[in-house]
Amino acid sequence: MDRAHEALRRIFPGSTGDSIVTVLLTRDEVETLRSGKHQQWDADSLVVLYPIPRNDTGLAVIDNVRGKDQMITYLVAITPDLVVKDLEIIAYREPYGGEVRNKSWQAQFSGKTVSDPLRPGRDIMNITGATISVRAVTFGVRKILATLTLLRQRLSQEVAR
Amino acid sequence: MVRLHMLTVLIISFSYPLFAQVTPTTTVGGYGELHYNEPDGRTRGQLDFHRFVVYLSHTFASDISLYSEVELEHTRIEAGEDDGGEISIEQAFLDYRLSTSIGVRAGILLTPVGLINLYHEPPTFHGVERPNVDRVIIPSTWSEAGAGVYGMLTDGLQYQAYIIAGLDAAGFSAGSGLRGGRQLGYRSNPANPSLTGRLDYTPVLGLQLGGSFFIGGSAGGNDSLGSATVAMWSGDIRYATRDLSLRAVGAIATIGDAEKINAVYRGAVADRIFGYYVEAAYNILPLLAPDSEQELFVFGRFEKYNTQAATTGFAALQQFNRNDIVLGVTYKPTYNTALKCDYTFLKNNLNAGSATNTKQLNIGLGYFFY
Repeated sequence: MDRAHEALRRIFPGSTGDSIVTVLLTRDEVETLRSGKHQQWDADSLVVLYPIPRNDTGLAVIDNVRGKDQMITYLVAITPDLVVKDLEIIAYREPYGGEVRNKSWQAQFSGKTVSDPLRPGRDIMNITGATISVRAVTFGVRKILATLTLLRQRLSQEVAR
Repeated sequence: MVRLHMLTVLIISFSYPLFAQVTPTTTVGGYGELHYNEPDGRTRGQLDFHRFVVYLSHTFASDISLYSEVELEHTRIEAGEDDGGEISIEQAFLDYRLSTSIGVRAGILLTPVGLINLYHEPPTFHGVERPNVDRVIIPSTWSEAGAGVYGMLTDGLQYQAYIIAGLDAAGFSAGSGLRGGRQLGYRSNPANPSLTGRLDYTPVLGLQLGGSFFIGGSAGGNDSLGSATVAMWSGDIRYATRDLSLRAVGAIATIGDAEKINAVYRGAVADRIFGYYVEAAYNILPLLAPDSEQELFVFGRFEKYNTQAATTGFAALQQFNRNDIVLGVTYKPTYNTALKCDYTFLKNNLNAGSATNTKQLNIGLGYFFY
């Protein structure tokens, strides 16, 4: 987790970086998310989120997506308005395709929201030799944006009740 | 304010997760390509399921994994048939990731020279057949038993460096260069441990630069060959925007003691071989169907490759100083399937002025999955 904490301290200066939460999604929520286009799901009914909020500058989510044959662990930092602030690869395990760790590629996600299409090769540049990793991480970001948008709806409904 | 409520809820729990724990898993995938080749556009062609590759991968722990590929070429192998198919282990290696900057790799590895040798899933390159530079100058698929290190040095810069079993000079030839000298991990003679490596650098998004080398003896312990040192240097450039992709690859190799190799094996091996190609491809589908996520590339490639660039003791064989022009299309209904068609003009310096230059129509289907 050290790399994750380093990333958090860089993205959210002043973050203590140890407030962690696991959010359980309901079956209906998972079905809603699964029906979305271009999202990669490996877990059946559970999404584990590890946000490090501490202050109102945002939160972060750590997740795994499968690349060609290995899991890619990545972190997405999101503002309270659910805009992507930053992306970082925490662990890359594939033999090839490590170019998704390049900052210049990751920077394309900054400012993206759930309403951006984020199509690999169209809205997010492909990297030759890293096509599979590009798709995996791009779909992962889409999944996280969709999940947080859905959670915000649930939480606002619960608060309103 | 909804956003404030959300943050409040998210701060409720304090526990330390064991993330980045990856459970042991085995994954299967593969790639393949079916080719139709028709020389001269008049002669009867042939259909060939050129390559059928299955890969098997296993994760032992978060930082240890195996990657392997088994390849069947030309659909079947038959006893006693010299020109039948072949079955081979193209890759089989273990990775142990110590950190981002260094991992250890050992097994049957791909020599990291050029582009096609590392990345040859059919939908990832244009043209039915692999570039000839990646056949007779860089002898793809070039895999060998060895071990070494790899990793990311800094943002945008990755490296690979391996010691592998060397080439065998007995297989070098006038027309196919080093190709016949690959041992491919088949009871490889370890007498010539060779060094190979590659740097990959991305200065800006869309531009990828690569430099690679291979150096090692090829005498295999035969003193009458001298050291027969082979040194290959290669550079590659890839540039891509959303619909345009350009690539260029160059490679040069020197073969030491070629005169001795020729004396022993009665061949016409050159002292130096070299080749390059430049390729441009453009996805025209957005012009026809702006919302489509499919791709339709038109492409052209020029290749020059000479396995007789410098010779000692005999005149360079000009039929092996060749150049190709490949013009074609690549239709990709999905990112991992491709229907390809191209027309290839093959020329060599011996018949430069004559009408006997070869032309070939190629049609191919390719896929990969994981």
